Amino acid sequence: MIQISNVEFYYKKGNNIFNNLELNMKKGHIYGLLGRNGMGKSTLLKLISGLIFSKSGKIETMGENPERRLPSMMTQLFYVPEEITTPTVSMKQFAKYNSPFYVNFSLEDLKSYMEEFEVSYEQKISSMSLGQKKKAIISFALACNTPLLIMDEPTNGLDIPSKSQFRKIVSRVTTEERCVIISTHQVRDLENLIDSVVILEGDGMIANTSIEKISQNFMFKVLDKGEESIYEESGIRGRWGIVENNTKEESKVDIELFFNAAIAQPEIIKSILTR
Amino acid sequence: MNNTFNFKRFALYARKHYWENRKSYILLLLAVIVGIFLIETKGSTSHVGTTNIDFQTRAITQRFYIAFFVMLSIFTISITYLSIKGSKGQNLKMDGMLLPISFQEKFWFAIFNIMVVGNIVFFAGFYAITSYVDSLYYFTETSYIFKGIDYKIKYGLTIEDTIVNMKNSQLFSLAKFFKGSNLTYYTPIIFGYLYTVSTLMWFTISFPKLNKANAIIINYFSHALFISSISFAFVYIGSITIGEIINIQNENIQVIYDLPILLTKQSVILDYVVPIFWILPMIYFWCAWKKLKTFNNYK
Repeated sequence: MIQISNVEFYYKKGNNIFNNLELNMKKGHIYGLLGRNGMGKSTLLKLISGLIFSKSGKIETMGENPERRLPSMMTQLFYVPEEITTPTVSMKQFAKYNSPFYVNFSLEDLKSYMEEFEVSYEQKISSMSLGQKKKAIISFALACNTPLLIMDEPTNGLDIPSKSQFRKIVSRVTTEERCVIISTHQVRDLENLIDSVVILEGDGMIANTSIEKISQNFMFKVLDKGEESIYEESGIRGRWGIVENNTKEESKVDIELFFNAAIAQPEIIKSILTR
Repeated sequence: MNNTFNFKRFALYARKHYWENRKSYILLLLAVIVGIFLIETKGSTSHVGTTNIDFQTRAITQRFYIAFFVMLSIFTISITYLSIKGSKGQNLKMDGMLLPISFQEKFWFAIFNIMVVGNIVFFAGFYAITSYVDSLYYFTETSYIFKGIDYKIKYGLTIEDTIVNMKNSQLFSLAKFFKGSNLTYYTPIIFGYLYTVSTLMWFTISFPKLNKANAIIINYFSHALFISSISFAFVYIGSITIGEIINIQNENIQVIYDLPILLTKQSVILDYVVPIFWILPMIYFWCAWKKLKTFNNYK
């Protein structure tokens, strides 16, 4: 679905966001794009969508060069930006004038998603709260039924029940033919939703792996006294840490802990994942 | 799928554009109508009331020019901004860069909106309002405004009387302009206009990413270029047609009636030298565009 090879990108020369970035994303997956602030999550999404252009290297989005932003590609892609500017119209009118551009758009889907999110179909989008706006636009994005759906910090501004609703709907609509990329810095928001993780750090990527592979290679547990770990955090339960999974026992993946471990011990994480 | 130009997508885009910007267009039209009306009725009233038809004509012409330039500037800059704003790279508006529509479709829609729709609406509105105002305040015989030469022939006016038709001749020449006659004269004007519009388009694309000082420079150049090229075009057309009505070669008549003397050697040189000054802002725009390449819609 997306192939990125040897990509270099910077806003200011000498201050590279990406250097020789290599990344593959396949259909049928929900990717969580994780990274600290300023590590290039939104930049990567914009590069994939063709909103900004790489300095060198090659990007292919659904077999096309995204920089050309051909209608044939754009009709297969929907990008939900972090900051949404919408015209002063209701979703009913917004859909009337925007949906004809998307061949797989379903009005029934839109109405049902909006109902699930408890957002009015008739209310002006501009008069909605930030969370409601997000939900309205996410509903429209999902209803477009594009094979590639990109969402930049979609859970920002959503209340707790809405985040749960968001996870339910996105996991339900993801099919074998669809690829969903969600960027966030609130890792917990994506728990039980994503099946693959991409972690950006420095001028590149630390990990692009599936939750299954993380589960096979790492164990998340309360550490015994004196037990060594790759990374650990102290809490009420004691030392909560991540260790290499040598026993092949399964443990529930703690994405936030894995993310913190990847930031703190990138080389160890990389070496275990590439074994 | 046709990735270059598809009429259905073009029409859908136009429909969406007019719907989403309808309030801006209505406000713009109202502002222009009120502006023309105020300038035509309230502006420069020193000669109004005189019985001297020559003075009266000049006063009207003065107002006519002011209303035309000021309102056309405002109208064109606004309509250019509205036409192109969906393509701005800086603003990640959902209906802008992310819409499945080709660059060609967006570009030709902007051109169509500015050059065809904008011109038709403005000129039709402008002449309707000025004619109405003139008939209301200055001339009681409204048909006078539109008939030009026919009026002269019908009423057997002398050359001096025909000077009154200065404004009519401009109307007449614009009619010819749209009919495409006298292409020899009008080709530079058409190019000048296209040049100005493209400059304005660069201005609107570059504007959001530039700091205030740069934006002011660009704004100044765009506006100055716009006014100068349009005024040259306008006076040029007017004087050519006047030349047809009253023998323009007769310099005495030109001096007596204070007509724009543009067909002299000096003025011809000036006409071709002035556009050279366009090079400077165009270089500036080019540099700004190069700097902004990452963010804009073109590569």
